[in-house]
Amino acid sequence: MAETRYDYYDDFVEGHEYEPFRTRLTAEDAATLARCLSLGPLTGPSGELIAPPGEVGEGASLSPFLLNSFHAMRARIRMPDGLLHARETMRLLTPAHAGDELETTIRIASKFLKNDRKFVLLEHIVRRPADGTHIMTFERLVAWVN
Amino acid sequence: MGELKKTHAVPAVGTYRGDIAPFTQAQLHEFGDLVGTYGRIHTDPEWAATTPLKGVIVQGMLILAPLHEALLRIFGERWTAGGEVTCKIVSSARPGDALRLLVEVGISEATSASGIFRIEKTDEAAIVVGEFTVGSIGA
Repeated sequence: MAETRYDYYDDFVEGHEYEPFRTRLTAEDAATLARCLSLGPLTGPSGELIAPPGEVGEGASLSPFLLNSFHAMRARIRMPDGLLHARETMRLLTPAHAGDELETTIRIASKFLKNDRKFVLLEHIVRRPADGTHIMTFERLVAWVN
Repeated sequence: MGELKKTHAVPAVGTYRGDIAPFTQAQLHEFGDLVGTYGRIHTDPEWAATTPLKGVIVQGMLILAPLHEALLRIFGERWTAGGEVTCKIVSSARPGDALRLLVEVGISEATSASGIFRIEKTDEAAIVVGEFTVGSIGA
């Protein structure tokens, strides 16, 4: 049986940009995310309860925690076990909605050693190809193995 | 229980708090499939028990995901169009851990709003910490 080939630290080239990854998120995906977590009542500084947002539906904006998925990374990078997600910076530019086709482009922004660990910074740009609108950008810092 | 209020787009400065329900292993599986974080450290309890972490840990993005709902309740569209967040995952949580989210709004004006947030266990041990800013009203 052929051994699985993974991408390790030395395989990454700073500045390399991967082929865009396309996906279409649905209202069902948003509902699935909603099932995975539960935030109780939110109280403000004076103890007042803060009203929850409206129901998620076909036209509701999608959570950035659906948009920053790892599917693009898994499609373009052979990720070994043992990676550690260290930091994430997200910039929300324009809301995306269920049914939008989205395109994620990954670029290796940098890689570096720190405290005897190897880090890779992956820049992601999420856009809506139908009209070229930039939806969000995020930078993901991962402690890579080897 | 206090009266339920909708925040307006310039919320009060101060700390907003909410409890995050403990995650179940089933939720870790479902989230992993949904967003591609299905590594064995999150989905394979038997394997995870053999690692230095000694068991399954919750995905960092799943722990962080309630922040979106909190900022949406506090700031509305100022968060979804123009928001920015930087987070650092400093520790781990396990299925069944009770967590709470604290959002500290430090600056709250029509043209700028920002603050820090923290997701911690009930013993105040930090899991995720970070900073956020939101867009201007009408941006």
